[in-house]
Amino acid sequence: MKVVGYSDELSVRPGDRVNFFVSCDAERYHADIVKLVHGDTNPGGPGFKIEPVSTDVEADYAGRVQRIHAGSHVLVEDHPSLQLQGPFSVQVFVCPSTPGKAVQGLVTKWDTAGQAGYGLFIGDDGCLQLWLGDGSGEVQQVSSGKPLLAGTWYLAAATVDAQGKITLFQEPVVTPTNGRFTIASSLESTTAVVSADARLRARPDNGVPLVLAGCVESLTDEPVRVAVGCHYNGKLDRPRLHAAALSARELEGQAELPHGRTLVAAWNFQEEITDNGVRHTRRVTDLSPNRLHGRTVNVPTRAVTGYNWQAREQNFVHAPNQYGAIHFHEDDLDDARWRVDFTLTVPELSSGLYAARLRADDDIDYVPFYVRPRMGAEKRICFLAPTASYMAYANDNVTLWAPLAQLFVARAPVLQEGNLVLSGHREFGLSTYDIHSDGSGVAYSTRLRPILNMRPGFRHWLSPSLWQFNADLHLIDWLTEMGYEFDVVTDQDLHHEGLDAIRPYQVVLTGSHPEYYSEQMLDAVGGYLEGGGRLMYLGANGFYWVINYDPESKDVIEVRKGHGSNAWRCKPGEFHLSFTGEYGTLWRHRGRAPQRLVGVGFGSEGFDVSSYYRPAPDSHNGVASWMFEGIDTDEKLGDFGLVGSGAAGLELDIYEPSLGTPPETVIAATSEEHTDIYLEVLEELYFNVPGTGGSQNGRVRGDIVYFPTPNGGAVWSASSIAYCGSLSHNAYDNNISRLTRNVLDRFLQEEPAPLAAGSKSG
Amino acid sequence: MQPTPSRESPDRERMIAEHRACIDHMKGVAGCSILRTEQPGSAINPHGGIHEQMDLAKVLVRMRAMQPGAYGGKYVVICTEPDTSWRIGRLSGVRGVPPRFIDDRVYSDEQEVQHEIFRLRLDQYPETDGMPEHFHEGWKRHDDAWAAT
Repeated sequence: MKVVGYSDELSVRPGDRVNFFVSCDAERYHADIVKLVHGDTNPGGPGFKIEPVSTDVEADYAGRVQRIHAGSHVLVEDHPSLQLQGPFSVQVFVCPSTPGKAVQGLVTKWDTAGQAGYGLFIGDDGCLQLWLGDGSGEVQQVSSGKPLLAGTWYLAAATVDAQGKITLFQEPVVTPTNGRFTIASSLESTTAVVSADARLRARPDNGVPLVLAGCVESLTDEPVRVAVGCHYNGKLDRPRLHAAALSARELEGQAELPHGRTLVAAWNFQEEITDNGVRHTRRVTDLSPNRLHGRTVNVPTRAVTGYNWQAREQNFVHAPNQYGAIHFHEDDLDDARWRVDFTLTVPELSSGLYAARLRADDDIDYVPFYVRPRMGAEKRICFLAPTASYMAYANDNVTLWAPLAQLFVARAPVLQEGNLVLSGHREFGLSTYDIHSDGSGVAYSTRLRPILNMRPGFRHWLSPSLWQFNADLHLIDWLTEMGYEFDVVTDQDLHHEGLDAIRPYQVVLTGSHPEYYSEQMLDAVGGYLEGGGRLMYLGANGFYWVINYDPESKDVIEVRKGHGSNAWRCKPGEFHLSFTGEYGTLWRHRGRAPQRLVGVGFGSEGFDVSSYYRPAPDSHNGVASWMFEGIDTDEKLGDFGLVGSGAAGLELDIYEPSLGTPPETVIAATSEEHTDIYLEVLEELYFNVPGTGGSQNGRVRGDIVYFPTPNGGAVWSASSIAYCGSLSHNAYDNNISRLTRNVLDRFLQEEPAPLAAGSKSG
Repeated sequence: MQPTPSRESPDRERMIAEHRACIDHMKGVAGCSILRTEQPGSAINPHGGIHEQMDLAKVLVRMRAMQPGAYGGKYVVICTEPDTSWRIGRLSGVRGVPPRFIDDRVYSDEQEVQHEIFRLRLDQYPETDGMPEHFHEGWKRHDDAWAAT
């Protein structure tokens, strides 16, 4: 792809400004703004639909390549106190996860270009090393000579005394609870105290910052300012610097009680932990009188167990002292940090989904953004775009790595150009379905990067055709073609504004897979329903994972996976969200199963082909018959479609009173005849036993349900991710389109919501 | 363990024939499964294929569960022109190293690629794998869940 881009804003109103960041390796590219209507290129459907919009950003622009600097670390600005020229000590607890990878910086005041400074590193021999560089090209590297073990905590330290004697300490700190091993051996093969004489005088007056978890590659005029290399995979805890050569005993004492007149810096990562999580997510506090505070770059994972974790407390906010670690990854990213290429002042556009279209030679990229109406000018229908869920899947690489991918989809996956680009460019950042290069799960996802699978026209390997962002254009297209006027609101708006974001609307429509929800978002939708709002949940596996947004960025989300159908599992003691301190995993495990909100919740999944629904008894001449006006209730519902060729497919939700489906819920239709690729989800099982597949298990199905809520509100749930893919069949004249229209039209009426189950039908 | 049928096995041609019949049913479907349906081009009323030939179902699962880099790399479909042309690639199994095309063949039918990959895999993978004599760390450690490479 010759041109890719992203924007700083996702959701805007007329008059707001949106900056676009573009990397282009052609001489020029052309940019304009388009409205996105339909992104499915399947020749059996309505085809790709976009509408050009005239704006003042439409022009040719000079192309330039912009780099992404992935990899998390801490930067501490250069300061005379850090330019230790006499005796000094540097120490930190380390728990490396890929010690054999290559050179990795731990605590470095090191200028790679000038080969000047000092630093604790993991060397290319997999051992702890002290580096001293005099700036003339002469470098002294002292190695412990004993390889570090992955997943094991060590006290790593080096001292240089006034006579130039170097002592390097590599001491395993293995407790019954803090790491991969308990005391299984003497650990002699990985324990070392090494002495050497300094051959040179280090020059840490090198003009570069001190780095934790990397070292300075170069200073650059790019917005990132400091290009960091030799990224470290693993945890660091309690780094300290002294302007004196401490003894082994003194080093140990400094860990918990940093003190003394020679103390230069003592960073305690747990200082940012509050009762409500790590609210200053990028701050790192130095306890020393010098106050050499640092800042994290590219969101390393906080709220992780430290060198002294005792396995009693699972929530970091209750025992901050045992959570003094940060887990760094070479492939973390919170912001691509590109230069701005052009800025759009949003004109008076109707609310909807738009994109900056970037064209270079034959290549095209679309950078999407949502335009909301001016305040007070809201229409009656709102499409609530599940943008948090789009972020969770952003730039996933799953199919390249996980055999599970091909088992899920029951075929050889189909890769698009975007997948190929990502396969060679991990610096574009990962999704919460990936794992880091060290095997740990990806807990954070940022929107501030080109997201190549959040594009119109993108066909996703996990779906028989479309997924998430592009699949939700099926709904936008249907609303547009059927002549409904509607606004768009994003998850980001819902999270930050709460109920106010959707209060003005008579009906709110979800997307096909609103899976990732913060407490704030859940409360807002609940409040909307309680106040008489009407919700059409046009998908499945919604309201599932607990997430929250970065307190310091509207563009970063966090999830802690486990105890569900999960791409990875948290390590013990790390199930709580760093951003808030709340327990992560599934809302179901927090006592807020989706059934309580929308009557149904995730029950099964399969990704080969879809099936159909059969109307339930209440549809014929009962409390559900209002939905089926103009529909023959003896026919199959949705035995067609652009997603798996059926309306019931991919992920399916079920009615489950024990999980909170309201007692008045009407079952209008239920799906059947799913393939054996469909299996009941893990959280529904107690033991893994035969018989969980579609041809044997009656719980492999999606239930279309309806129930009224207090104050005139109502909920209607489709319970299938594939549902919206059937709306356009036969030029929008089909029973899924009709059913959806019947419900939407009824919900738009001011009269009371339809009757509940158990009521006498009119 | 269900063996992948050898070249000499009579089961092999039967499995290929059933796979072929299912693929023909899937032409025109927005998706793919090794199943027959009520009619070609429909996904409704799945039967035959993996629902009835259990040895075929097991062999397919074994093939799909293989490690990305094993036995020369796992076959994937690469779309070179949306809705129009597809080619066969192989995963490198190495993080950061993209898949590569296996040859110059371009398919104008996506389902045909699936069938060709099935035939290629019959030759690619050994009759049995994951038995004690095939032990390798990743297999036993369940790195195959979501790989750690």
